[in-house]
Amino acid sequence: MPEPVLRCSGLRKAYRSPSGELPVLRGVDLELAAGEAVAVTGESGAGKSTLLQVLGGLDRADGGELWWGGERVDALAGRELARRRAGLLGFVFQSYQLMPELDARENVALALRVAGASGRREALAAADRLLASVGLGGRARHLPSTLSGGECQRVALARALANRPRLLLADEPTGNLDEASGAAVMDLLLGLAREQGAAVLLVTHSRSHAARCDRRLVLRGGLLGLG
Amino acid sequence: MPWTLHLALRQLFPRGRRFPAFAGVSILGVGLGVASLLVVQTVMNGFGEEHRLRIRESFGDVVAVGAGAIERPEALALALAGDPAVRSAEPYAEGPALARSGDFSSVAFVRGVRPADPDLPARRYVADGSLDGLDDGRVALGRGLARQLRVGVGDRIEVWAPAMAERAERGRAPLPVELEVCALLRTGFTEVDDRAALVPLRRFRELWGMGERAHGLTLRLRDASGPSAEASAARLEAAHPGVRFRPWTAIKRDFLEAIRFEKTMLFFLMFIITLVASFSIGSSLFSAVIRRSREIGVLAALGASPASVASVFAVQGLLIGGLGTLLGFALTWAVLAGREAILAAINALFGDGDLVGQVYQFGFVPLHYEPWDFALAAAFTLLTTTAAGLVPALWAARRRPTDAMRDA
Repeated sequence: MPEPVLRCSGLRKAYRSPSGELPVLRGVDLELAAGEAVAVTGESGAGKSTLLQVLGGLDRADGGELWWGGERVDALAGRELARRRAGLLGFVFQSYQLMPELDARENVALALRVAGASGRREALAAADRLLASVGLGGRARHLPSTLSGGECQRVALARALANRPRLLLADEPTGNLDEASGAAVMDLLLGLAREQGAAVLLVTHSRSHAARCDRRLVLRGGLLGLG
Repeated sequence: MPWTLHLALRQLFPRGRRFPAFAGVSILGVGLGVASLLVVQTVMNGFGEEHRLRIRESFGDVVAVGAGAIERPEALALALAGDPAVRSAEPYAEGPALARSGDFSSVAFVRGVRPADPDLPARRYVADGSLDGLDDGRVALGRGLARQLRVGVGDRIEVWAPAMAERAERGRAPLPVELEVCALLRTGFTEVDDRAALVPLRRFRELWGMGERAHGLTLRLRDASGPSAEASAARLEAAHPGVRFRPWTAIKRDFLEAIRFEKTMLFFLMFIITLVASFSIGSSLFSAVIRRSREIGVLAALGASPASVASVFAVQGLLIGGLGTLLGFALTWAVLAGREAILAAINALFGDGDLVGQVYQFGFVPLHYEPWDFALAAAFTLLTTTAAGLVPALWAARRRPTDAMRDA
């Protein structure tokens, strides 16, 4: 049986404040197979984004185990974790999170260069190809401030897929978009991920977007259950 | 180009903006600090160099004096000229006298020199007339002294030497000697220009009743650098008992030390300006780091290591420091090139027309470029601006990506 792309067991996370401890994840177990698309839904404040950040290594869990591919990563140092993340994971955020001073192709190329995958010229050429694949070939040299929300999210998607990640973590990728733009982005996200053979973990409020995934899970009371 | 440098450059100089405000103001601040530092240093070096030059020109590279007047100075000069380190040795005598022209009089500091001396420094400062005609009936005056006496080349002045008082004691009328002005000297050194009068040594001895004696000898050395002059003076003193040899570094030592001390103090005072500029860069970069929290989080999500995130901001400090230093060098050159116009404006604003002349004894602003000062200013500036960028950079690197994105 092939190694899951992502595996976690007993994942716990709580936020501490002067008023006390607020548990968000109370022992989450999850496995994602290669190429599988899984949607996580839940009420606002249920901890969906926290789950995504912990699974992506952007935040540390208080307890439990986290595996990327066949490697346990929850105890890795920051530098090592960053290196693994660059090669294995891609992120798409609700508010695009593009670098405002870089144009679309430079934003995409940045992901390649951070991962150390290629030099500047090769990275820009690859970025042009990726932008063409998300329908933005003609907008490659535009700054984010001159792009629409849908276009920005497509640039962010191209950036997330630049290093051909094995897992795409998407946090409400259509949250800031109108219905038509959101549907277009979802088409691209699921289509390109499938093309690349990448697994997708999608956090969303949208039932219709969740319905397009292979599995639907609900985060409730700090635990994942079937949706 | 590494991606960290590319991103740092883009954040400092965003595309499509006419004026990159943060970078522009920061670079200008550093540039002004560096320029203030270097202008002051270069001018202070200039004052120091000019004073050292005047001391050497007035007293020689080494001055030889006895307990009293030297009895057979020409013989001693001949003996000293045979030393391999000595280029020339010339007897001199000097003393104050009263100079008068019509209704105007002033105290002149008269120096007896050998007009044929090819190393006579006064030759370089003839503003009017010529020293070739300096004989027993003529005198060369500093331009300031000539102005006080209202005389020019070709006019005559009367000179009373202290020795003339002895004649009055013997019941003879102390008549002044009348000398024709053959040259006006302008050294730019107020102390010399306002007092100096040169006459042939023979004439001086006659007026002062010195016979064949001289007050001392000025020695010009083949190597006049400070250490060489000090070594030669020590060696000559051992070889000529009864004669004291003082290198130029020992003459007016306190004054030279005061200039050096003033330069050091000004360096630290001016360096504070650069330090303040660096603090403002640090503060601006801190705000930039906070403003860019979300981007820091994204960089981490893309797989950037904490060190890479830190270097994006540290490089910005370094770039501001480097470009500010270059701007400072250019500003220094521009200010120093226009120094006389600036000085005239300062004089017109604060003084009675000759502020620098009164304070520093010069009628101009002397300069001396010292590469070491430029290197030191650049090193200090790069160090402080990089440190200013490094502190917020390290803070950014230590942030957890989720905290950074949450705080944005």
